[in-house]
Amino acid sequence: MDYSLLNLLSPFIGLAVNLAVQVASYRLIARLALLQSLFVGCGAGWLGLGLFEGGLLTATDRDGISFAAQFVVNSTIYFLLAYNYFHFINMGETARRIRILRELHESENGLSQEEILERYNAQDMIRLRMQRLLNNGQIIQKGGRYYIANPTVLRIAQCVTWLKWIMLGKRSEFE
Amino acid sequence: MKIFYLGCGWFFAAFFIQWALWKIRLPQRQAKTLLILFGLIWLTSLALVWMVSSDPDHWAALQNPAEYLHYSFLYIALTLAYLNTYPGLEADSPSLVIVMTIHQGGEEGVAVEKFYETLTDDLLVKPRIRDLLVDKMATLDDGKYRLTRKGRLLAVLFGAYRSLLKAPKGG
Repeated sequence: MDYSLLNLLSPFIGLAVNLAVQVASYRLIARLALLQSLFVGCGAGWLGLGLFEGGLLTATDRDGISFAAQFVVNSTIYFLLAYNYFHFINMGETARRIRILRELHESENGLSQEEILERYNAQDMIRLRMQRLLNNGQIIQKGGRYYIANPTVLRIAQCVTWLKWIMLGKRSEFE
Repeated sequence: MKIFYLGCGWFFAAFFIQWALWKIRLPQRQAKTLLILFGLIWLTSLALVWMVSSDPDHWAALQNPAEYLHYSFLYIALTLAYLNTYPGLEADSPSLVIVMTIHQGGEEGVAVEKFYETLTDDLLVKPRIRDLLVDKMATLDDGKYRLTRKGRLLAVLFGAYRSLLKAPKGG
């Protein structure tokens, strides 16, 4: 196979390594959280991409500058694919629509709105998300009240709000 | 780096065109419209690059099918990343709403009861149920929501992967 075509495989080889390592590490290492496993997989995938690219470099007569340029493009594609994979996992973990789809899928005769809300509702959602934010150290609880502890998610929230305003002309879907 | 510049350049061109169109009118099915728009711009870019590539010395000329593929992979990966991010702009994320609410509480903080009072099913769940109808993932017949083929496919896909991870339903 021609080098230029082999080179195109690099990001997908990285992605395959990412998926394999992420799933294996999450299933086999009990103390590893989902997000941590995604970072482990991402790093392993990039290493796999690098090894593959390095192998191509040694096997062909490509010059260093050309190799570096290709590596930058392939790494960019790989990290975008890894980001997409992260979002796929995150959707399964947190997306409300996906959860509702799965509840409907388990019901042969369909569900009314009331039946959906019996299985999945705002109270359960809030409780779960508050626990995640506490576990991640983003918020703390003192005397029955909640406070910001780590501003990472807060900054993300502010950026999203700003982007909403730019793209959609509003800061909330309910404006 | 030509491929990198072309991929990023055409993606940002598509982004700004989309932004301008959204200012004129916000489509009902935003994800589908985004997909069509970015796809059309990708095809247009391929045609234009192919035209300028008749001059091999042109800065934007691509030399062979592999380079066209490489450019396409980059553009498509950027587009998919944007499409995956976009729902976070459409719908208010409960976690982000919680954090912003706590932030607005300042030094006094926020009591947990406030979240249960304001973040209700009407805000968090019912709009997402309606989204399934808008995006044709479910139908509403005789007061019952049922999955369409598209909805079943997504449910099976995510269900299988969650099973692979031995993870609960999520949401």
